[in-house]
Amino acid sequence: MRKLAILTVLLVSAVAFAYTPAYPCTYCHTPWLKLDGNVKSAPIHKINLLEGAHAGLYCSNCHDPQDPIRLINGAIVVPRELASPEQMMQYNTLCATCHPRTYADYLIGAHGNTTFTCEGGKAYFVYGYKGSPYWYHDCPEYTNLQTVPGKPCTFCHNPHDPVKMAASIMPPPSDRPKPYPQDAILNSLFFLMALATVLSVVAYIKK
Amino acid sequence: MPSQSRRNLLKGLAAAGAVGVMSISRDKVGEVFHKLSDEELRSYLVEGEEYVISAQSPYKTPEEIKKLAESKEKYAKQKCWESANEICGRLGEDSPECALAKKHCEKLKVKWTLAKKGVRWAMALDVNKCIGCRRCAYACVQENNVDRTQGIEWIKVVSVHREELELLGVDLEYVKAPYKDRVYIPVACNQCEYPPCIMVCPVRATWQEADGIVVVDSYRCIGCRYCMTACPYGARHLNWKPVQVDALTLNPNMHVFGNVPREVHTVEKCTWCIQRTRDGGTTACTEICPVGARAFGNLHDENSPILRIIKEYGAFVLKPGAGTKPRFFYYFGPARTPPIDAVNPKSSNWLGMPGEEGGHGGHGGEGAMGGEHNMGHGGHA
Repeated sequence: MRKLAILTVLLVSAVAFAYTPAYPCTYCHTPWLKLDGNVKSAPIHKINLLEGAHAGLYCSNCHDPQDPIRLINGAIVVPRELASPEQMMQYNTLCATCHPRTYADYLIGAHGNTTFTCEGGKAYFVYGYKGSPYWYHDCPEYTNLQTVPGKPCTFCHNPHDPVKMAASIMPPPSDRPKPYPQDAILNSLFFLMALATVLSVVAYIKK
Repeated sequence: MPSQSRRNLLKGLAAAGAVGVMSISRDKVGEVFHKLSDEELRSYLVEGEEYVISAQSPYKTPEEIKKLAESKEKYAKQKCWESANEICGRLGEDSPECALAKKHCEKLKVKWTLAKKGVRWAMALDVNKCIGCRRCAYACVQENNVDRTQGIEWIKVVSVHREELELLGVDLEYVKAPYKDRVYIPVACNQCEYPPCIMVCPVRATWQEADGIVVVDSYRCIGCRYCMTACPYGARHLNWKPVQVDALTLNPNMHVFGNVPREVHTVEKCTWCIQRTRDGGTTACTEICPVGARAFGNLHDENSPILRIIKEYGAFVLKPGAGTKPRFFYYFGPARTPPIDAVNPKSSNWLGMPGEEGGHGGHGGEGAMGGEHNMGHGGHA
């Protein structure tokens, strides 16, 4: 009975730790954990390479089989929610091994977004007009700007399921507002028309 | 305002001279506005770089443009400080909004960067990727200090039937997108090689710069709206009210012919973010696109994305019969963003085409498994 209780506690804590977002990867991925990279699914990470556009790959095509926390280009895997853009940029060369043409397009700005950087400046992501996003660049001087690729590959493409899905759409365009109230013009028009009517009636009677 | 009386005078002159403008034959107008050769461009050295001023520009020297920029900056700063003082009075001097508004007014700078020699800007848009989300249209409003109350948006996204590609039956007011039988085409100024809008301007308030951008000078514009009628793409918009952009949402990065707040009763249009691109940046719409459908670059550069795209995929332009030779290229790229009514969006057969399930075995040894999976999900339309 005591053995069962200890086992239950261990199991519950293992499951709880495994699905905590800020879970330290090294808790499981230790150097003495000998893993075989020759698999296609890791249910604990909710990864299934049997479906999606990357079906046909194995874990070891990108991850170090002995130590899956490392990629084969030397970069360290950081969970998507915690990774900074600079860390995600390090995965780009790994994508380039299979997609060299796309990566060349990405570097010159023909695939994906481009953005610009300035010396001593910073870009802020703001939500403004109609709730739409916009990059506000706070530069000391808006000269000598450098155009660079905007986002890392894995920002748009989930590496385990790389099809980019459509985003939500923004509200429809605004109508032009109604013109100014033109009371003065309309009133004077009515007055002139009334005057013309009276005058013509008078002229008709006098004739 | 110094330009007010001048504009009133010119409005009168334009009305008087309209008959004369109409009597010039169409062919002669085309001769006047032929493509610029190198001899016609006035080139200047500013800080070691070679810049050019278009022969069509009414401002002949860099000094004149600098003077114009200074006068526009003075006026823009004055309006910005009025707005900032109003915000500070309403929300208190120590509020963060007040500090931000004051910071924007202090940073406000109207640049007058000239066109670099040998540069011709162009844009390309992948209509297979575009999902019609209108983020480009609204980011453009924020970048270019467009008046928020007049409903002016320089980019209009039209939803066209995918197979007919016919401008009859387009939809501007859609609320759900993308559908698999539609294609979404954002339309703004095409920065044509032969722009019909500049040919009709009676006061030379709009002209083509040496790098191909068609600009409007709001100090010269008299608001006659001939150019709005002449434009085949509906890319020009008239300010019916004085432009009021409050200092909180103001973009302090301004160009003298670009996003400096326009005056009342003047025409405004897309300038491909002249305040960013002339200094090496990229446009706001290219930057914000969530699917990366847009590419912007120099058409004369060997490493430009535009040349790469046109060589690889080809391109089409809007209304080629108008003879305007647009420099905004649309193309159907290699991959399409799965629409919301896709049968199985994660697979390569998301359209659910009957009879194509067998052709899915492109994944080497594991292809059979992927194909089975697709069929299991019911890939029949």
